[in-house]
Amino acid sequence: MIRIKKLNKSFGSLHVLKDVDLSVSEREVVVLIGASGSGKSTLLRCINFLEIPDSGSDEISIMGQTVDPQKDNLNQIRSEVGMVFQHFNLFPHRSVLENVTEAPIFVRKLKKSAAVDMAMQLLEKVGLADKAKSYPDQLSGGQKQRVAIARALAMSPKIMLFDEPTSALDPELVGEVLQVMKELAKEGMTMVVVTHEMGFAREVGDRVYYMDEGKIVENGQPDEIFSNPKNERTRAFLGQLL
Amino acid sequence: MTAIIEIFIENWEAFLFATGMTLKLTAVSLVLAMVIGLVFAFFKISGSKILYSIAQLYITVIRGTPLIVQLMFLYFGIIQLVVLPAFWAGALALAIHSGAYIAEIFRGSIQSINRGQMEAARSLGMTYPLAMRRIILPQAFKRAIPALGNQFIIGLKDSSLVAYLGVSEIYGTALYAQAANFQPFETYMVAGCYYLVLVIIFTWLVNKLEQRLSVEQSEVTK
Repeated sequence: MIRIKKLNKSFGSLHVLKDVDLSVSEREVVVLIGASGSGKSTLLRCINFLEIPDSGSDEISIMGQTVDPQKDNLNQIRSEVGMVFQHFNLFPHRSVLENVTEAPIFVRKLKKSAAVDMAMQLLEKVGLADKAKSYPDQLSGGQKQRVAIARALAMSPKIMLFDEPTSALDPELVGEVLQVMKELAKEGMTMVVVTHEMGFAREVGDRVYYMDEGKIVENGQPDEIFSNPKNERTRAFLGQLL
Repeated sequence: MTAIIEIFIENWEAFLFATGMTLKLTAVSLVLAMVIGLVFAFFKISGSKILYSIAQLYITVIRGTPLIVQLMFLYFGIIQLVVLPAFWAGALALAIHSGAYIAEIFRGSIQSINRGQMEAARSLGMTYPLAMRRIILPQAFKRAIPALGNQFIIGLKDSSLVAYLGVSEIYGTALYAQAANFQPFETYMVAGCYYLVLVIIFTWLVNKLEQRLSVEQSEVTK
């Protein structure tokens, strides 16, 4: 579904991603771990071109299509790749329901009634159908993030990207968001998740990538990485967490 | 005091007509100014150096010169090219003047919206213009209302200068009236009261609008 070769990204003179290779197959859940500033989020944001990779990068292909950010229609690609943000980024001037129907109506050109039906199903799925008429301000962090997931799913994406989806939540609200993500994974959604929730990585991840200073240092099955990390830096990082 | 009341009664028809003219002048110029302001706000945030410079030049010149000079310059300038009634020349000049200030108000309020809003919209496949129109501008506009209201009040009062183009709005009417009745003090006092009442009404309307919009957002709909 995603194949990235020798991806580079710099902000000015700051070289954030260095020759990163990443591949994600269909129905696979890939988890990116690493310290803050190691480039995980930037990598994730390059997958849907919220950050444009440096021109020297070898290749990014999404769903079998090699993407040239200068020429290709990035909106079209983004509409197939859902994204969930650390700070939710719900639209505060729209109700929960409108947050979910906005893109289907205005990007997919769905009829309003069809969009509402689908949105209600998705809100049902994340357990928030009763909040459809509320505004984001009236929700808890966990509820906001579940709405954000429903909003992304409303575009029927082929891939879902999660950028530290639980990092801004109070500890007691983390579980409800992870639960929704687990269900998605179980249904076979292709997912790339940046997280500090090692329990989730271990339980749900099919493959774990450890990043440090803009490079992928090690990747493998969660069990290998967590119980028997080969790289010194991976070991040090995981050691700090325990 | 009686003199003021007399002048008020004697001229009430002329001033009523003049009030209509002031309101028309203000409304037309502010609608145009909003359009101009929005366009130049986008020039400033477009990322294009050329557009940015054009906007910067426009704002610098307008903010750096007196309105009365702009008014005369435009009026006598336009007359060379097309014959434009004084009302429209005045409205246009006022619009170009307020537009510079409104451009800065819009630019500030658009840039004050969290970057994450644009990113979330784009991540859903929205184009930049669609995200601007559906997600950013409604929030930015709401945030701009207090500053816009202020600018509108300034615009209402600034419209008095169009009297010098021969338009009979409130101040222009006072100019004529005091020349005829030789009571400038009382006549200008009456004109001042008209402006004051209009501004008070307008301030009240803006406050209402602000309240309604803030209620809309935090309304508990369960």
